[in-house]
Amino acid sequence: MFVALFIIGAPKIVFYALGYSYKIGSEKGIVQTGLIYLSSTPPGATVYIGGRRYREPTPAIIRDLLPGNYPIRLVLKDHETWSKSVPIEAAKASVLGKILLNPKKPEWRKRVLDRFEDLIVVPDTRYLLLRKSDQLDAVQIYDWKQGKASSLFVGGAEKESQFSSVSVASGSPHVLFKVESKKKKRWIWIDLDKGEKSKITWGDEIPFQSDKLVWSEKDSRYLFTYYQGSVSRFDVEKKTLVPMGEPVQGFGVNEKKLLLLTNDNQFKKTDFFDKNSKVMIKNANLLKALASENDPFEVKRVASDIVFYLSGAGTLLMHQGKTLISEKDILGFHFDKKHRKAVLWRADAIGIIQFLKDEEGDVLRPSAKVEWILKGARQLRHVYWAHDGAYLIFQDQNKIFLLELETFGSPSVHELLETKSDSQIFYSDDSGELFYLDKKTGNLMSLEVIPKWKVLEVPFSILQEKEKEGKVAA
Amino acid sequence: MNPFRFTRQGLTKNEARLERFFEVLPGLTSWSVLIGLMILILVQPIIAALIIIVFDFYWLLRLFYLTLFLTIAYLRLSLEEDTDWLSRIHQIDALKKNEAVAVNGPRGWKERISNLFFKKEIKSLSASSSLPVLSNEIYHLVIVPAFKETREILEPGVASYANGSFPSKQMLIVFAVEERAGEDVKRAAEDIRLKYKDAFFDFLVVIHPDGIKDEARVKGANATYAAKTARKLLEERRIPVENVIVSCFDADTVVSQNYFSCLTYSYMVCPDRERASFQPIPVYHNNIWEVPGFARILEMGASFFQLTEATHPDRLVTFSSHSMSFKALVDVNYWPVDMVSDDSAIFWKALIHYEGDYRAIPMYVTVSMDVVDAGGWWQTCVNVYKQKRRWAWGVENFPIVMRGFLQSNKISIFERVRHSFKLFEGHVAWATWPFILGIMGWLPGIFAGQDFSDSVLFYTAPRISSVIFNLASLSLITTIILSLCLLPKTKIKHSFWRRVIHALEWLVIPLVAIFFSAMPALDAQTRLMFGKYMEFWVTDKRR
Repeated sequence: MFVALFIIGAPKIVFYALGYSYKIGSEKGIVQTGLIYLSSTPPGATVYIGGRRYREPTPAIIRDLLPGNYPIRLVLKDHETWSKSVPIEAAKASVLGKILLNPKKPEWRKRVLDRFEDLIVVPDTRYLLLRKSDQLDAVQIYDWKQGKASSLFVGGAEKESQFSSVSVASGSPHVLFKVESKKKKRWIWIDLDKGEKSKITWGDEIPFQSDKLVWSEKDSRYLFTYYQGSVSRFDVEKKTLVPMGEPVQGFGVNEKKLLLLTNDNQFKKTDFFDKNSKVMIKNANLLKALASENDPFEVKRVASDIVFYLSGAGTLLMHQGKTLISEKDILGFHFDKKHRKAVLWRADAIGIIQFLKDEEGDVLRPSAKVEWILKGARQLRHVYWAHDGAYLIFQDQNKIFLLELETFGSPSVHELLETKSDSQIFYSDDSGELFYLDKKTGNLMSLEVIPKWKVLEVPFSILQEKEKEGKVAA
Repeated sequence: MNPFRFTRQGLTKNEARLERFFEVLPGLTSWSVLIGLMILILVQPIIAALIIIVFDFYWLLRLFYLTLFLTIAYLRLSLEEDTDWLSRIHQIDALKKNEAVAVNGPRGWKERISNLFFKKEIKSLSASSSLPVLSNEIYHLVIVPAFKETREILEPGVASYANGSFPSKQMLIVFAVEERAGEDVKRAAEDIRLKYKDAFFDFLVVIHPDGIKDEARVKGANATYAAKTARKLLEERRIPVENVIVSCFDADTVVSQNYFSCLTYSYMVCPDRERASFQPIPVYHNNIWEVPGFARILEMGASFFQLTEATHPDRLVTFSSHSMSFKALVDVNYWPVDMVSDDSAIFWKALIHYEGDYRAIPMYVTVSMDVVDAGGWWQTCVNVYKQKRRWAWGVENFPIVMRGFLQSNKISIFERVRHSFKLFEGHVAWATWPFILGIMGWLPGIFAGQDFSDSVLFYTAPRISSVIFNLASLSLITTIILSLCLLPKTKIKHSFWRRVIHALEWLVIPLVAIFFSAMPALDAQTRLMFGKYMEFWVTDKRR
């Protein structure tokens, strides 16, 4: 009996697993079906496919769907209805695993009530700098993780000082202000973790000049300046400036290494004292492309095998193994390490590039091309990855939009709000909050874009338990 | 009779080559299954997922099958709990004397059903014209090999033989003590002998000398030496070997009160009694409440496996403490003296010697032994692992049995294939199934590439697995209930929550199965594959 059960049962289970189903009616017979996986944030939305309402809320797996296009709607109280047309293929799963349901009444909060002109993002840290004016004592720091704001300079020593520029580095809590008056120039180096007491200043007595400036989050003692084709190392504590020697076309830091694009066609990695250097690439294509640019390149190693080079003129070169992709007029980029994809933007368009692992692809494979997913923007200012790479938040002029990527057609755009003109925005996918300056009051505001506390991390096995098998509500 | 020598010693070149081939086969197969499936998971996850689904389903059916027979076996065990075996023995004696057999009128439903089995067996015995000698002419030879067991371990067993329902004056007890054993062990054996000798027909303490030619330091060598010594005594007393049932018990074995009565009955009622082993249900109850939960679960599992096997007499192989016709033991030249797994090896040796005309008869009576207990938790883990590896070393039988089968012309091909497949599949399943079920089954989803994660299978496979495991939990619940019924009543009354914890201990089965079942089995097979032969290792037991 058990043998008979196995002989009959095993093939049935295998066919079921592969999506085969016995249909009645016009499609009578055994057909291979597909399924849709729907997961929303917040969860619990009612699923409609065509005119049918499914009993179980999201996250849901709807099985036994014949190949074709299905209009899907998700309805959740107090949220805008989400709808899409989703294609179903035999034996395939159409996955919409990160659907964001936007609340009808967005949950924005006032964070700091002062009127600010701009906010300056210190990337990959918990700090925002809030600028009321160009006066140093009018600068506040805002710790968005703790929700606390405080004045950066409180001692009165910088009461009349005005800064002309501020430099930040990814992951580093240090900020460099350039203070200029009619008489002289001054630089103020400050650690935001420690506040004003960590301030180090230097002035015109040191020939500190830079067209570009970088430092490492791992070692903030040294600043590296690029000026007239050469890189110098500036020791902040000793206040000494040491030229690094050979002329370069571009440079950057990666942890405790300096990355240099030398004029003799080499891309090398060296320590901060240029004593232990290693030639990483001697790539004719790369160097040929770089040679055409007059601006210095900022070099960023975004993954162990991927390096980005961005020139001041907007030329972005992305280099992975034998693959080299070049784009012009790029204003900025963000790399998503988890999904190995980058978003880059021009003034009028947003593009995405997906990198595969080295062993997965070959030279110039189709996947390593920029896909321009949004065109016709007026003046893009900043773009952030959101909801684990499923969405983008971007600022076009003064408006902030949410762009849904996980679709089976054109990405859909949803306007979130309007911000103070010419001010930056900041979004953290850790907290799901967007920080911006209010259009009218200039107050620092936040908007909960991804309701993190509501995100249900459902283990896959449990998820399966919630699978819906075409259970149609009466 | 097949002159096949059941040993791996003194082989010809061809025999040695064949032996090596069959030694390598189980380990190679187990590793190939695990590594092959792992490669398939990485390279072809869709095919791997389908194979795993089919395997899970097969396992579920096997589990239901085992649970069904476990329940039947448990019912049979509880049915025979109050059977008066001595009375039945006397009724067989009456049959021999041509007196009327009077089956007692049924008192309860259990006895009523038990009587049905009895009537059937008596009918079969009468039809066979192979009536046994009278029960008062039947003697029991009980051999208890000892090496480092203390008096606390040895004495309860002897007391249980003396206090049983079968007349102890028809029992010859032999403590088989290794020469290399400590003086305290020898003294304990002698003290027990002096204390109990008058209760039995006789009581010997036989010291097994070290270094006898062709012997390995294994229990079988010790037991064999003791059996040969006992044979001389029996011959002196003019007791024919045909009238003797030999039981070889682990030193910690405590028999139930009816054990020897049931054994005598089973022996007498079996028409082919001189070509049979008699297998009781081994349980590990002596110290079951004193050991860590995982060890308790593991030994319960071993008992259940044997209980289930008891429902398939045609598949049963002797295991641990068991009994057999002394004549058969003498015919096959005693236990192997160079093998660790003498308990199962003796069955295979007899099966080949008698050209397939040998069987293991299940007895619905228990013998209780100790769960491994080395004192500390970690040390117990190590000892449990080593004990299970020793059990799994039973795979050493496979190459010898295969050679024996290849040399045998009289055992039907069907029987040879059936036995070989069961032995081979049993060992490979032992080493691989827990890994596949507990670990590898989940890997296709974890290592899924884009192609697999976009497929219907990626979503349906976990659901199917989940349904299968949920259904399997029905088996687990049955097992938990049976375990609670089978466990001895605790001396201290446990609270409700303590009972719940005991039941929940079964949830660690996946871990226990991997670390204390599959891993030792794979270890043993790998050792055999590389020719690293094991010697007997005595597990720590304490009370």
